[in-house]
Amino acid sequence: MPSATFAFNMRPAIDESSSDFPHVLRTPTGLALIEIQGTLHTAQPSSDSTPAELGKLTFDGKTAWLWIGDHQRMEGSIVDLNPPFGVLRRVTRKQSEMEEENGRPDETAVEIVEVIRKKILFTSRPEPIVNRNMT
Amino acid sequence: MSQGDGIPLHIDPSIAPRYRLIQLEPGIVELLESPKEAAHLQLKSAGPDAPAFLCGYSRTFQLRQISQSNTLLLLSSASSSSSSSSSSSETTDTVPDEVTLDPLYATKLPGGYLECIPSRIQIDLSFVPYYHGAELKEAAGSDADLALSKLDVTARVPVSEFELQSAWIAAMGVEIDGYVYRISHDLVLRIVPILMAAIQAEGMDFGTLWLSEVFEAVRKDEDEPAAVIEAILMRFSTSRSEPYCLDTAQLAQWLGIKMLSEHAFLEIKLEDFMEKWELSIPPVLDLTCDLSMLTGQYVQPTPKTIKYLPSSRLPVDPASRFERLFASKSSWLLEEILPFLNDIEKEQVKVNALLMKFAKKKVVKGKTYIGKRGV
Repeated sequence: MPSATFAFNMRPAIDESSSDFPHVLRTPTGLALIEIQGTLHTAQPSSDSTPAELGKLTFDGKTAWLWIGDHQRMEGSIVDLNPPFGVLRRVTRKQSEMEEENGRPDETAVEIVEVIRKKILFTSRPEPIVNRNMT
Repeated sequence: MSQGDGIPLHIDPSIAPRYRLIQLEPGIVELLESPKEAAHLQLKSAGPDAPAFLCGYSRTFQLRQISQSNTLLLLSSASSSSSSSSSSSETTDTVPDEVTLDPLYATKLPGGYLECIPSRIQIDLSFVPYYHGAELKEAAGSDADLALSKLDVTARVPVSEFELQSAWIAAMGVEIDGYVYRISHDLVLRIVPILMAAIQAEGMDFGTLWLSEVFEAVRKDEDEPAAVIEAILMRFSTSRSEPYCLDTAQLAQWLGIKMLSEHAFLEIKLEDFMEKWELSIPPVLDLTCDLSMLTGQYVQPTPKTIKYLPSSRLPVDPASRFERLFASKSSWLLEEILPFLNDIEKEQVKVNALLMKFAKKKVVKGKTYIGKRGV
């Protein structure tokens, strides 16, 4: 039966001092969760896979806003996750040359990279924004 | 709140496929935080369509995929394609409003998350061949095709190490010349009296048995390898390691079940059975057989008869289980039927609910009788 080792590794914290991300959502590896009641339609990724901008996130206490495009805004809230979620990542460890010669396949391991305790939940429809304030 | 000073959110399709979410219920958190459990963590699955199990040292969980229709985005502050420049601290001395904030990269997670539930599957070691004794093994010749190693067993059973070891001891698993077997019941029946007699003859203490001494004592009469003797000692001992302490009640129970099961599921005279059972107990042990040792393994269709009925082999589904129970006996005393319900439902409240749903209670002269519904 195939098996994989399972590890619970907390990676070292990356520098977040420049981030405006609310303190409660900051996690050591920088991973956080957004849940949207709805479907996200995005354009096909371009051949060089550069990330496309979805919108902008702003926060005010426990409320969050996602500004999409020039005319839409969605309101959401920061919600506790009970029980929390772990983020699983599959890692394939390359064996040393000698082990490869011995016919042992690359080991697959699964690790929990992060524990997420809060999410930003967006349940309402985007509202149209008429007066757009741009500084 | 205006848009201008918001954190840019980008969609990066390249991060997602590697991540999945798993719900961390208290049971799982315990598993991850205990150093002993965490050191043995393994994910096991028979294949892409078979269930997956998370095995620690002594606990096993089954993973279940829960789908949900909401979109889940995982945000990270570093894009997988960029270097560490986006997370460097160049901007620490400047006022946030005057610079563009570091972007966050969002990727869609595959729908849903993984849930972990304590595994309830029974450990099945029936694929391990029987060992019938040294002489028979030689006669049978080499059966290398069927031969299994201990690693093969560990790889095939999706369960934690401790649980596997418990099942291994209970099945009297043994390793001989690098291959594993289960000791056959007939061999056990033959060896046990010789073992007990040898221990007594050498004046050893049944509560403190050392394998080397026991093996020396038995070798004069038996040429089974030490591993076989050890497997039998471990099976009927209160401890998993030396010195072994003989658990006479366990031995009596095993012998009783063996005697019962030889009649398959036929009804036999209680008197005959008790006599046979008593005879199978090595005299040195000075043990009185009592039906209470076989709770959950038998039913008495009438006060003078008995029949083999192991609760572990009854259907797990309550409706089918009650049907089987009432087929063996139409009216049960509450205390008689409870052992056959406790292995599917541990909590008394839930057992009562099952009784209410599938059976009828009647109290006569202070005793509670359980009968079929609708009769």
